[in-house]
Amino acid sequence: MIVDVLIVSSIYDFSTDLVVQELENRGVNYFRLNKENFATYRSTIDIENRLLEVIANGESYKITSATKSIYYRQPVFLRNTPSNSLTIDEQLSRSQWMGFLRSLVVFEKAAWLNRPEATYLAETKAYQLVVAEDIGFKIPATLIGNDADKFQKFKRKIIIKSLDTILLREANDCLFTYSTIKNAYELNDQNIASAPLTVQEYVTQKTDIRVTVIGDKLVAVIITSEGNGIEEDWRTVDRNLVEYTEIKLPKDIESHCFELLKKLKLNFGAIDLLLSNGEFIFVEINPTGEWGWLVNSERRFDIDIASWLIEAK
Amino acid sequence: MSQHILIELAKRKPYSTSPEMPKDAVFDSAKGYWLSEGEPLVSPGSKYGALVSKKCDQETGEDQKGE
Repeated sequence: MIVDVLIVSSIYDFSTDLVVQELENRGVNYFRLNKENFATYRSTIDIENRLLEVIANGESYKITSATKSIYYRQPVFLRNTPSNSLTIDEQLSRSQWMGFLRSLVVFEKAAWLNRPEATYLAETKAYQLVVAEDIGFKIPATLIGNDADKFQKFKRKIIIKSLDTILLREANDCLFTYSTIKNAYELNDQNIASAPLTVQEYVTQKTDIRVTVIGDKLVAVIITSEGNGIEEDWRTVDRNLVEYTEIKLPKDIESHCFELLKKLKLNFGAIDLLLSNGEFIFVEINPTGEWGWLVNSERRFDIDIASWLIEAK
Repeated sequence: MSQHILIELAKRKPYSTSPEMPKDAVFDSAKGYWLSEGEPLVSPGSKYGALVSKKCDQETGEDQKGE
């Protein structure tokens, strides 16, 4: 099969199931390449002919320079630190398949959601904050580092965040961090010197807004609990108590969102904003941001993504 | 030296290499999605659809960032 839409994913990437079902409904020639199946595929990138052939279950799938679009749902960083040492085969497999996936950037004519190098750059929180501010977004005062003395300039409450997604393993546990409200005086040399972190001024009386941008389509949703903004990281609140309500953003904020994606060379982005005392404040953009949790019968990001991939804008 | 504050504040969960799936769920490689009794397992609003990533605590940060 000559593939029109390639999806680079994982079998446990459930949101992508929705996109794939829509592609199937619309009769698209697609192929979902899953990382769990690398060893069972027989894959070849033919540089001379700009061709990727994957043989899966006896079927040949060909990604060519005519392939319309690529939906890239794989990491651009290697983040996990396994608690058990990897076998020499596992080490080789992980590093080389990542290199193989990166090699897909040779398909320059395809429309990407998103190209890995754009995701890589945009994942850098310091960079996205600078770009957002240059565009005109208001951003919170931010310091990044491991010097506790410098953080004492924050006289009110602060938000502590990791610089990059934290996925740690210890024995049979995995660890994940959320943004946490603290006081600067709680930071000292003993508890931060070993690794840098992000510290931001705490924005009070805030309401979280998630803006999902797919090409030229933008949907903004406010996240509340019992009608009120959530003071802490809303992801830590019981999901049954969380409401998502679509809102219309002011024109200038909407324009800033589109411009941010353009500057970061992204075709998809999930932007987190805060609304506080009538002001919109940029928090971050997630180039691989999740959207499945917002899908309902009226809000079909899966169909929007499938349409974007088919139209290959 | 005390533990780093990011580790101290981190949420712990039992590690699993893959999410717990319904017994009859099968990933159809040709179709490219999960099936259950011949029907798509994931649909808008289903346990394995809309709710799965942000809050199902198969949490790997914004989606699929893990290795």
